[in-house]
Amino acid sequence: MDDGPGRLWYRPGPGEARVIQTTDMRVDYEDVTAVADLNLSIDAGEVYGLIGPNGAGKTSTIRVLATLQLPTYGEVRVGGVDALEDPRGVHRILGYMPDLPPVYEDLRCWEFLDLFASAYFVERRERRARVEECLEIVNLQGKRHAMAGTLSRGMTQRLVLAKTILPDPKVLLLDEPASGLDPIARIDLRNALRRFAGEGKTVLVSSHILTELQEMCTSIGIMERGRLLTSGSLSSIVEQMGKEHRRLHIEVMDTEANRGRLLETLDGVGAVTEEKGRFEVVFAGDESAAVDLLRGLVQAGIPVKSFSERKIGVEDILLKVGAREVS
Amino acid sequence: MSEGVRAANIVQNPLWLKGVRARLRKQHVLSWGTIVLTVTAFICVLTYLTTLERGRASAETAAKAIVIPIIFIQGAILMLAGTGSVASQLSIEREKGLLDYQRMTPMTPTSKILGYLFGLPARQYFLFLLTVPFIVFAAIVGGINLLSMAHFYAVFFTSVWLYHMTAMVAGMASSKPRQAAMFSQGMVVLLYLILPQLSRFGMTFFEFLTVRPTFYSMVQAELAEANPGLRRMAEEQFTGLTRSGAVPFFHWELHSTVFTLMVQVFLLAAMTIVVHRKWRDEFSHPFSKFQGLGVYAGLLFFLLGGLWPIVSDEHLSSRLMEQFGRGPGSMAPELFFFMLLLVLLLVCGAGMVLIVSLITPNRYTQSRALRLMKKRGSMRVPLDADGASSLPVTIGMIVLTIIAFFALLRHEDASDRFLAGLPGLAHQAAPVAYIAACMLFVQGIRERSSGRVYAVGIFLVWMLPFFVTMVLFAAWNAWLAGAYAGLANPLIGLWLLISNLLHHADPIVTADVVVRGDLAPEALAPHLGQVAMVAVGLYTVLAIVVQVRRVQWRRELRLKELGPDAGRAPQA
Repeated sequence: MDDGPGRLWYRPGPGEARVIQTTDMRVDYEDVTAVADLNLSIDAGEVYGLIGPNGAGKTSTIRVLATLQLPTYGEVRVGGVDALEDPRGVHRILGYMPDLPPVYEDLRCWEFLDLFASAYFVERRERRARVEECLEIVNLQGKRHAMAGTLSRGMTQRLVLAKTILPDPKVLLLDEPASGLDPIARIDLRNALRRFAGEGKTVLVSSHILTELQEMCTSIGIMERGRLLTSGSLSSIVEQMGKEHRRLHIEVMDTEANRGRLLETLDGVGAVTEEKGRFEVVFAGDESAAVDLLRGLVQAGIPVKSFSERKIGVEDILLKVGAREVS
Repeated sequence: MSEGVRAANIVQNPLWLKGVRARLRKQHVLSWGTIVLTVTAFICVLTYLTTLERGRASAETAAKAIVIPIIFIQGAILMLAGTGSVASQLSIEREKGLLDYQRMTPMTPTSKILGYLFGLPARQYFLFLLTVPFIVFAAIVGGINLLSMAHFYAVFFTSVWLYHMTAMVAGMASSKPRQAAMFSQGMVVLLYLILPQLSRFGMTFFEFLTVRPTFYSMVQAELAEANPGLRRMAEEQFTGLTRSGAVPFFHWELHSTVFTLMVQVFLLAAMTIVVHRKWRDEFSHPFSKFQGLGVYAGLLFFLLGGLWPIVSDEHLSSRLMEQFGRGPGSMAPELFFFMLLLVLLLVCGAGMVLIVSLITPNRYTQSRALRLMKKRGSMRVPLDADGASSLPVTIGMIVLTIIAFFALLRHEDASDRFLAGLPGLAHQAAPVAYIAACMLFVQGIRERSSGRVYAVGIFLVWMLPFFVTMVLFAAWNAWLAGAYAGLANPLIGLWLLISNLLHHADPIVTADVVVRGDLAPEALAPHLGQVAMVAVGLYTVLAIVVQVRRVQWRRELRLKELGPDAGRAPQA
């Protein structure tokens, strides 16, 4: 089984510290608990996808990690720095891109980036080169002198991404970074995030777009109503779920009516759904059990045309853990 | 580079540079620059030539005549337009989320505040610079003392920074740019037109929030020849308190520039605290509990310092009484003292209500604090935390007010300026007992209720009795009924209680004639003692009821958040 995209990238050594860690973190807004006792651990070099429906607590979590708001209680460490005790220590290593990110509309693109280059103490002689480099990364060199207020939504998003990576942060917090981006820009973003992770940076991304997260994340966490339902490396979650519930696709030559009922009687087979002679079978068993199942079907005289296992994706995980409101 | 040096180096401050880049684009500079330059040049040429040709004055006098119009233009640019600009731009940044970017940069909060303070009004500073050649011309040709000019501009700029800092607070608090700009510009107008009137009652503090005192002392020293009308105005406005440009403060006489700087630096520090705290956490209270108490103590210090010399200095008090009564001897000393006490207690009350409103936690803040304590295994919220009760600080403010009030009474007793002798302790204590109970009532309501319920509740408890009293007084001259009906209103309550204090005091007897002012209607005089007792009793009962309910409610909240064990150690 594929170990997910993370295998290709940088992996922290066993002794390396957790880069993002929250312990029993809670966030309340008046009577509403946005985040309830969140325990989150993200290692260096991870691209961690935080998934959840609206109101799940993703943005609140990111804002607390970004030191933009205080939690009701709990411990928050970013890059080994206590975010509540030393927020400025966190600011030095953190890049944050909010959902629907704003820009100073009355600044030119290069002025916007130059502002943050100096605010993050990039040496004066290096500033121009760094600004150019970041504009290049997000493919906005042609808009260097354009007023930020005249950019399209996707370009604005890219400009803010450039601002976010400009100080070369160790940790990136990106809240819905792909919303508003066209398909090519999304591919660029995905590649950029992979590169950051390859450089040892830690990226936390929240998004509704599940396929996209699946392509770029090494780990995921699913939040619903302020709680973290599951968290871990994508490969281990997929593997774990795959062990518990494989989804097999079985196609047969004929369309005899009782095929489905017959399948259900076999060992390890759970729910069976059929569509035009094509069965989707929820199967609780490992790979050798699947081989036994195929053998059994053939021995039973069922004309099997194709037999394959459908890869489990983030969507399946979401359905499994119960966060059903995510798109 | 150290962080302090970096913060002070405004030219390299990224936020200042951002302000300069965004606000000083060629098109802005050309359009606004042309307008300001043309208008200033027109006004200066008109004033100069008219004074020179029609007034047949010397070139020196004509040059001095243009100083005042230029100062008005500069004030309009920096104090009004600049203040509005700071408030609206910051409010826009907050609303859009741009402030979050700045919150997250590793610059020190001081650097950020300085960057915004000078960067947001960059265009106004540029326009101000365009007027400088005119003032330089006036100073050189008019032979104006440079030290006077330096004094004036030192105060001018601290005032500007104070107003801009107020605008920053408004911009960080309001998400509506226009509202924030109007509020902060309204504050400037209030400071210049309304609050200075309180200096007639010894509240010199408010006068020195503006450039008016320094402006008029410069007028008196340098520009009187060119502006005789302004000189008369200056004498009318300030001779009561400033003698040869000095400000009486307790037993000292301070230079008006020094005193203005003291007052403005105090308020600037208070505003800086608010902005610092809001940088750290936009949901935090503007002041911590102890900071709130410190700000109130500072306010009281300035108020008392201004009143002190009026009581001890005969010359000063006579001039003020003349000024107030629009003629020598037209106001009885005790009536004037009555006004001093009434305004003192009303301003103290307003100050306490403001601080209580700012530092008292609502239900949710208290719940958050309790949850945090539960997590930490503690049963007590730290006294200075936002989620802690504001009762201890309220009591602290009440104690300070009582000390200030009695200090002023003792001081008067020692000087015999307005009264021959003070009444018994009960009569002396009644006004402060009333205001103390009133504040405990306000604090209790504030801590238990939401902002809207608090505002409406206080409005009804204070304003409804006031309206009823006004109707009773105006329609039927029903003085006693009106007095009882209006006791819940602090203005009416304090008016009656201080009237009672002075009614029972020994008046000053001059040449066998008792000089007694009209403090309250004659029909009320025999009943003042009883009315005072009922007033204090009324608020004492209200305060006890509200505080008992508050303690019960807080205990329930602790039980809910911390569990049954916590109920045994209820917190104040």
